[in-house]
Amino acid sequence: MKVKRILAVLMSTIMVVGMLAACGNSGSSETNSSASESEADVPQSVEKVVMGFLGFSVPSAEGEAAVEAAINEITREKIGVEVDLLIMDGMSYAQQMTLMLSGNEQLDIFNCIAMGFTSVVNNGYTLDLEENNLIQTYGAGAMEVMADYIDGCRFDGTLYGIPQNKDYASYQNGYIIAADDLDGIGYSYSAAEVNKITWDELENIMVQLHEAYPEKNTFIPQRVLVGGSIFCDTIGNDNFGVMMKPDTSLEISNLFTSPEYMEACQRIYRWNQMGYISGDAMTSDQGNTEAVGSNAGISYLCNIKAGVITQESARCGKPVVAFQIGEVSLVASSTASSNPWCINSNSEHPEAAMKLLNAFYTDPELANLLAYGIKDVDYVIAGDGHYSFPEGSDGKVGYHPNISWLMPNQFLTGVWEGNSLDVWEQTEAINKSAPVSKASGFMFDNAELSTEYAALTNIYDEYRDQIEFGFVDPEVAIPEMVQRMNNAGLEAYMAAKQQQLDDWSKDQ
Amino acid sequence: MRMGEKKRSLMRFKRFLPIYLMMLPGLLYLFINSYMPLPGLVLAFKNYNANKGIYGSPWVGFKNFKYLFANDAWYITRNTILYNLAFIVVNTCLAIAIAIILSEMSSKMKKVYQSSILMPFMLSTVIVSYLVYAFLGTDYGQLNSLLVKLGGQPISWYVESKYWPFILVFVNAWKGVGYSCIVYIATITGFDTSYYEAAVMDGASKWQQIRLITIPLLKSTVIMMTVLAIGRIFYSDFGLFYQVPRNSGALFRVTNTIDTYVYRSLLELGDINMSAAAGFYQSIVGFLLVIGTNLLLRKKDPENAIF
Amino acid sequence: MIEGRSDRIFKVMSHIVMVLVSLAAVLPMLLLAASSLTENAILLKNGYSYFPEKWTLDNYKYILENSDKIFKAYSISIVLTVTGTTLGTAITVLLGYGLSRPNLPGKSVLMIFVVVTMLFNGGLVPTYMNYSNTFHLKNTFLGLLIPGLLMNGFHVMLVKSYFTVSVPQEIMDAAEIDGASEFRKFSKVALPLAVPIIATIALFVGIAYWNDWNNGYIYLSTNTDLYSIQNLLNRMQQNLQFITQNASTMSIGTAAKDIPSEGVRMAISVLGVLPILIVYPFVQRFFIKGITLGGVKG
Repeated sequence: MKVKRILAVLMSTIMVVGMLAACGNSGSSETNSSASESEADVPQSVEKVVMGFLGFSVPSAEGEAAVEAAINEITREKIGVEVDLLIMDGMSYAQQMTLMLSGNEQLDIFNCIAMGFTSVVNNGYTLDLEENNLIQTYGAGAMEVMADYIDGCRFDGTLYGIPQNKDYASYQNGYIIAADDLDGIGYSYSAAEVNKITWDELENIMVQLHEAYPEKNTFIPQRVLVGGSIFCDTIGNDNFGVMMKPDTSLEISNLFTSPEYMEACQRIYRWNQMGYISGDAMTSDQGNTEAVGSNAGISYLCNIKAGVITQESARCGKPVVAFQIGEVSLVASSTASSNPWCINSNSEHPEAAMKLLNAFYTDPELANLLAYGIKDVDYVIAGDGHYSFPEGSDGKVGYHPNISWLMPNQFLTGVWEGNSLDVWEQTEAINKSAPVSKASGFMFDNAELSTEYAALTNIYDEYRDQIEFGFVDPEVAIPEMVQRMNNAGLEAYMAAKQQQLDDWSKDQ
Repeated sequence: MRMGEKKRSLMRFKRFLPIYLMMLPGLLYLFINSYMPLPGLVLAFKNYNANKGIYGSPWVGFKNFKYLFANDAWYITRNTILYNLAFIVVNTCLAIAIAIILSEMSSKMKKVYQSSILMPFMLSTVIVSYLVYAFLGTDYGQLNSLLVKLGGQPISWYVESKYWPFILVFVNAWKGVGYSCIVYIATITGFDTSYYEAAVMDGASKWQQIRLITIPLLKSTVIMMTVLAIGRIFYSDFGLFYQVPRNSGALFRVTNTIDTYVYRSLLELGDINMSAAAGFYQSIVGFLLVIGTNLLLRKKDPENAIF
Repeated sequence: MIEGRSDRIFKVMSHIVMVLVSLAAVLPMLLLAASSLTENAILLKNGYSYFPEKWTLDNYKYILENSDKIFKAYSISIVLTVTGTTLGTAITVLLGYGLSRPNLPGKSVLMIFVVVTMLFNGGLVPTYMNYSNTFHLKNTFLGLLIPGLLMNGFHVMLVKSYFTVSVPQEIMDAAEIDGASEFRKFSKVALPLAVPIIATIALFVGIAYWNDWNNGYIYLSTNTDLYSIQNLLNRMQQNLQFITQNASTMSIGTAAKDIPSEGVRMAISVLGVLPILIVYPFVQRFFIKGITLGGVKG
């Protein structure tokens, strides 16, 4: 009797679990059916690769499947490869990629965004692209397109990734100010060109803006002070030890004790004291463009690049004016290695992966498919050649990852509305004209200094917003921060950087 | 073994067989969920390389632990321990007090009260951080508006670290007391009423009943909850210490705990080994503390020892 | 029975205390509700308020327009919670009861077995590899159901403690003398007395499942159909943080526009909390049995 009852309980539990398992499996097989169908009717000579990257808008399942099918139609013929796209959003991307890479799931091509190229390489996830002449044989096109920058992805001489074709240089000290507020104070400006002014003129404008609109936040700070205002090369993508004269000297010095840093921080402190900055600036969720767009804010710092006026106006949802002080730009050493495309070292189809990547670097049709989706479904081409959303879609289409600058070769894709049609040419022109950092191609390996890095990061995070948003007097706070950093090993960290840099430059 | 003993232990086993069968699904789940991934703890001592797998990766000794003990990092351990101690004391006292009050109540309002205090628990810490921000925001916060109306000066709450230990203890209690309460209420509900009836007949007042019956009967539950809380003394609620202070650097000295420090350090580094080391460190300390407390209990109050 | 004076003071003070405490608990929730009914532009300009300048149903309208995603998430949350709670409570109570039996051979070992699970964690990557590679739970419903939430040592200890304290050994002995088997002792004697603790565990497990976004975050990469409500909300929040944190280093384009505005996120949060608030009063009666202590009945 009793045994029967116990067994009954157990059996029902097992049954329920079993049913759920069946449910789960059928669920997943439904979503994978498109993939397995295409596998079923394709001859064995076609290899399938999985390609993962981040998308600010994750495509719908149907939209993604349609784009995959369209891409596969071309790639099957040309190179005998099919692709399975894995597009994920923001925060979960890094997490998922790390789990898939360490858990050995099939992932052949991936982009290092949000993960850090250095750590990805150090963890052994990336394939040496020159092994067995892989890239020379199957990726010659990509090598040619990225010839100027590809060495930026070398780590200790080995090539681990391919950078994307994008804007490598932009002008510093750019300020974006809402057009209607400028009209309000009667300031005359050029709407279509970047206005070149001096610091004094900028301060003057700010004073007038603040007087005229005291209830708005005159300036919205964000974490761009170092990259946007200070001419330096942040080696290895961290601010602990930078090259202050990147085009002429290989010397690494302390950013935080430099007069340039102090000057920039003093300026923002002054602005904060004068009331330009909201008391909640450090804790607010609001982005600078959101603030300007909702008329809560007036201006912010922004790097000036080709098409910046139309771009920022679109982001803010109303016209803005661009100002620039000085003519400083730089191709930093770390730009090439910020978001490169890599092949998984555990990939079982490295040749196929390489061929596919190469195709995206060289074939405009594939590049457009990957970036924008299917013509007349996900986007339309206007009479003048601009790409935009189809009429009446209200921006909601099946496939629009909204991350065209991450694409292997953005310059092959169409120009989205809001940018001038020659924006790619303009970008290339700036790229070529900017001074190039002497450390281009150098990658800093901080694996041995993770303790220092952890402590330094936490200290910097503690002080950063307070100093760079102007909430504390930099003359007091910067020395305090520097002392704590020194206690935490800043000098050792910088010395290691210098050492690696010197060793690397000897081999050049 | 002699015939008699063997037969006896076999019979014992047979007697308890149904019990073992009942426990089987639970034990199986614990095995799958918690024990199978355990060998992965070795990652704390290795330098994981995806090509070589967990077992092939090289040993690196204690290297991955160094960053937790850096010169500038001792304060995270201090914060974690102090906050957890405060949480244990404050939450236990409040939860017991409220549980007793509610159990003694006969009015219909009881249900309303209990539902109300549980509500904060349902909110995710992200929402809680928004709500705290609504009160403490510099420009538009409720608290600052009140201060200004009363003739005072607004305070930049997210910059002054001295208020935050109290704020965090309060928020933690606000969120958690409703939940802890339930355990105590359920336990009190299960008490044998004959004790109380006897006390009432002896002329005991409510206060006396609480002091002499309820609280002593609650002892074993309280001890168990406390010991388990001690086991987690190196862990912290990430949402509470990262989201609620809105990641404000000025507050790090009092809001950075082991978990948030690890998160901030590894955001860029993405180092699995270092995060495994942190997890191992937290587990080991908790484990040792529980064993230690249990030994103490065995000596002083053996009935309530966990094992 | 005459109510003593101290008893009356106690009663009055109890009510005062509880009213204050309840208000403190509930007021912020009202703020949440108010902000979900505030127009988004006002939220951005003035922050949260109990009496916003502009009331609006726009945020909820947005939800209705995008209802397919949100209703799907709702149904996932509901199915997950119901299944998980039933299964989880069942195995927890069974295990907790077993551990509460005195003279159980091997009890210490089993106790250690359970307690260790509360103290040691294999870590994210090993757990992930366990469930994804060994058990293939990734992107399935089971991946939301099983990892971590189905049962945990803490609840087991609560059940064990309850049975030890509240089911007196005499009753069990009496039942045994009457010839009851172990199973019958459990189902006929212990179980009826255990209603409060079962309700408690069910509540805890239920809330844990309803509020969980972690499993979805880790085990769902391509199967967006399985997003629960909290998962959805959390992703929106995190993506927004990701965008604002990285706005400088990446050209975000118009991505931020795709994430629902603050007002809508508040509305989704309200929808995320509402079902529990509705269900809870029905569950409550199982552990407030209305025992009057102190004998007003007499």
